[in-house]
Amino acid sequence: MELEWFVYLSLILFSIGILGVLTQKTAIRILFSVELILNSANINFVAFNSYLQSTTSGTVIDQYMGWVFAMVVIALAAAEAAVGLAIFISLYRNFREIVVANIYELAESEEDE
Amino acid sequence: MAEAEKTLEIIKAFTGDSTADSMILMTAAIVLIPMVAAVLLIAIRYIEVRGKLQVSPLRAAVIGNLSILLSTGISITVLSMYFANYVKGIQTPYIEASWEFIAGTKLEWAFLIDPLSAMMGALLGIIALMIHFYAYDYMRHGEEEVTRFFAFLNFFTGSMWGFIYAGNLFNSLIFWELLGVSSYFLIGYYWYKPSASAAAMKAFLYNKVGDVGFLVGIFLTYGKTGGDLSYTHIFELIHKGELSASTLAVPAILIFLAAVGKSSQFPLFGWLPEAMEGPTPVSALLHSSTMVKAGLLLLMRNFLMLYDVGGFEAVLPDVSIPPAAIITWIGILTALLGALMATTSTDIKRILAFSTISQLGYIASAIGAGGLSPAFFHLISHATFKSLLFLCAGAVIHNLHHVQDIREMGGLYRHMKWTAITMGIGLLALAGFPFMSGFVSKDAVILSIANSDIPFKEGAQAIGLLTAAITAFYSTRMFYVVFLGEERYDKEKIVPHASSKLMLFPLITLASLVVIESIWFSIGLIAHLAELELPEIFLFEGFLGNMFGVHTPTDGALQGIIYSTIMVFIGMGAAIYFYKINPNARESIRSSLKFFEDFINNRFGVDIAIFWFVDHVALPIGNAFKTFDSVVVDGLVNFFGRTASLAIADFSDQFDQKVIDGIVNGSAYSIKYSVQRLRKLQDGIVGDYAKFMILGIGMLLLVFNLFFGKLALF
Amino acid sequence: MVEFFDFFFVINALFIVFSGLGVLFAKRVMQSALSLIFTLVGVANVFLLVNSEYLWVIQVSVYGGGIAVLLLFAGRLTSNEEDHFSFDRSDFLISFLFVLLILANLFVFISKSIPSQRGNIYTTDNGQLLLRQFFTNIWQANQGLGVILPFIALMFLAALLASVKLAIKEDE
Repeated sequence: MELEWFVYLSLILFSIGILGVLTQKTAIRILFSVELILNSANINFVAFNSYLQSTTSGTVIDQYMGWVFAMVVIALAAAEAAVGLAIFISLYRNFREIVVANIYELAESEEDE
Repeated sequence: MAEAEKTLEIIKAFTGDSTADSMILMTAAIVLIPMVAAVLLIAIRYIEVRGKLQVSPLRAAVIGNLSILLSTGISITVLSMYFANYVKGIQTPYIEASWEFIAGTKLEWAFLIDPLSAMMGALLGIIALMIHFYAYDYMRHGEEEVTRFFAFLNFFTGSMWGFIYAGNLFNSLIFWELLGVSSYFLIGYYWYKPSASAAAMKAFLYNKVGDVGFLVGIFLTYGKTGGDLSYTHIFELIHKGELSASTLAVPAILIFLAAVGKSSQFPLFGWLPEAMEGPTPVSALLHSSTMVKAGLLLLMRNFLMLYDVGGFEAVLPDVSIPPAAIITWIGILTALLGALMATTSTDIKRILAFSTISQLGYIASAIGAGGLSPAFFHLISHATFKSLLFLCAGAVIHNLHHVQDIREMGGLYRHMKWTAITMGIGLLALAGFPFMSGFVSKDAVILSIANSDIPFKEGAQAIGLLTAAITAFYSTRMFYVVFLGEERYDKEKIVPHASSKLMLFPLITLASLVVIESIWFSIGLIAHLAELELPEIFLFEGFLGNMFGVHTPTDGALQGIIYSTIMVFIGMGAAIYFYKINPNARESIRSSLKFFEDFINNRFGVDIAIFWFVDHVALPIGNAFKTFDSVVVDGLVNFFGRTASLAIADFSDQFDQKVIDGIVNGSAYSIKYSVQRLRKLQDGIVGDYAKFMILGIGMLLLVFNLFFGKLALF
Repeated sequence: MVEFFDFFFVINALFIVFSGLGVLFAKRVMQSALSLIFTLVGVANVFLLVNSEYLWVIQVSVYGGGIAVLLLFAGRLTSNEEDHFSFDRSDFLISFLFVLLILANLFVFISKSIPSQRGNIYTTDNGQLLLRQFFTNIWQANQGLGVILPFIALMFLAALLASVKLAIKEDE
């Protein structure tokens, strides 16, 4: 069981997440995909942390920095989920759906052309 | 001729002497506090004009008074700190500090504390405080815009403080001009009256004549002192003999021209009587210790520049009079003319204005005669009693509802006893009644002329004595006509009443100041005559002489006193005779001397001459230049414009149209075309944007993998 | 030979990948969310493998418990019944190609940049979880966390305020 394995696993999970972000139609599923990306990052952090623990002898903070970053990512995900929920509800209230492809307020209006 | 004997001791602040540091900082505070208050009041006034706020006169007055009170306290502290050493027997030094203003030059912000500035600052503080206090009661009745009034009054006082403490000619010029501007605002305070705005304009323009002289004088001095304009530097150069007064003669004359404008000497005295259009507190401040004294202070500051043997010789070989003699003679002439004009004037404020001109002439002549200490002596006593007189006149005018003609007054003693008494004290001092402050100081002035070595000094002395008699005459006349005799005012409309306590407070304070000064100075005079050994502080003039390090000889003091006492009593007796005992004789003399009276009332034709000069000399010259400009210069320019330029313009026009426009239009068209294609990508769907982002990241990674670092595939 | 933990890793990795794909391709949102929870638990197991028991606890409780429930909520509140997974073939293909580009490049990158000193990173003494070391790890991680905790707290606060602001219904 080598470090590479973890990184490749993380890579695959990351790619799945990206694919999800690109292909999913509803905002909530896009958010799920983002969670996948975050988790892949966490795998990386933890794996490298463990690898460095076994090969180097740093200070306590050096040895556990990967954990700490993983914690930060989890906290970020939590915050993101909270904000996301609020955004979805707001979107839903305005559009009665959360299909992002149907929400293109950013595009120029047709009349301008 | 006076001799300068003081050795120079210059203390640079912020180099270790903590006392000097704090004094300099206090000086800066003195100048800044009224300025800040003025800015605050202007801001309040601005809000008032916008209709957002109405500030009561009391609040504006409190702001103005508090700032002046603060500054006055600090200035008195500076004075006492400065003299603390002197009492211990240590020589009083020049304390200066400077901050860089324009990098790379010696044009700096500089503050200088020496006996002159320390004493003058405290004097200005006391008088300005009294006037500010008085101004509230004077201005609050039926006057709008008290905020504006106090803003400018504060600004004016602050500028004067800045001028007093200025440490180099450059700073002096700045505050000098600020004084001019603020006096313009104050004289034109009743801007809706045409006469007031005309008077403000006149004062400003007359001052400008002097200012030009000041500026050119500074330029010349700048060249001669190696670019360092600080007073201490100039003093040092003169003391070392590297710079003699003869090389400085022309700058000195030009600086005197500045003083002529500001201190209303002959021939530029026309603006001062007109300046009476401003409110009375302004007149009081303007005449006692600020505006008109600035010019004399400038002369005292540059005292050492004025004296040398030879004087003009370096420039005009045939004329052997030093600048000092010119100053003396113009000063004494101004004294005489001012006194004569005061005699015929019938406006209570203008009488005082003319008497100011006269007294300023005295001070200037003393400076010219080398009597720095008599000049400052007379400046102090004049500042005190003249502010008192103006405030009293203001009280009278206020009571009579803005009647200023003394022929419509009379008999006011019964109604306003305290005002009459205080004004009487002031007038006695002005008249030079024996052992009043004005008497002692004026005597010192005349004595300094008598002991100088200017040409025809006997004539100057005689004119000085004659002027003393005339001064006594018009002072007595004024008191009699205003306060005694029959009541000539319109009794149906006007009911005189005693001045309010708020008004009386400054009057009585200043009157007691005059009395204290009189006693103090008289003790010094008597001690000097009787050769008594008294502590130095009682011998006021000797004390001033020690301060400035310039001692004036005092030979013939007793004679001088006897002469001037006689002259004063002649003047007063004549006034009493012509106004009380035998008015008919006065009328007959007036009718026989009608032409002379008209001549005096026309200000000796000086203003007419100035206007004639402007109309017939200055304007034609200006028009000639204008014609030259429009015909010759414009002709040349047009010629080139029409012929040479047209060819170039044609060529560049073609180039512009063909080449540059082509490039511009081509690039604009190509951008427009590509943008029309690219805009299709902006469909507003976030997912599509994300796809492009991912594609971009992928391409970046590909490039990175292929080409960079040890990771490169190839 | 294939050790137990290697075997466990492979099984777990397959579990993660398939449940991750399940997140994408599940028919209904609720199924997708369930799949996400499976993925999270799988990732937690990976943490367990590399001796990070503390993060395992956090991952299961906070992520698998808290956040996933929040997401379930979001799905319930916003999805219509007819919201099924829809499949746009050309769109999917383009996206897949793009992702493949990234995947390939990163694979190359990783294979060249992973440290050459390869070894078994799973280093718990004889593969045993010692209770004492477990708590030591927690304590030490908290030491590191103390540095960064205020930022996390601030982030939460901001998120909370933003969500409250967004979720409050405007007065109409």
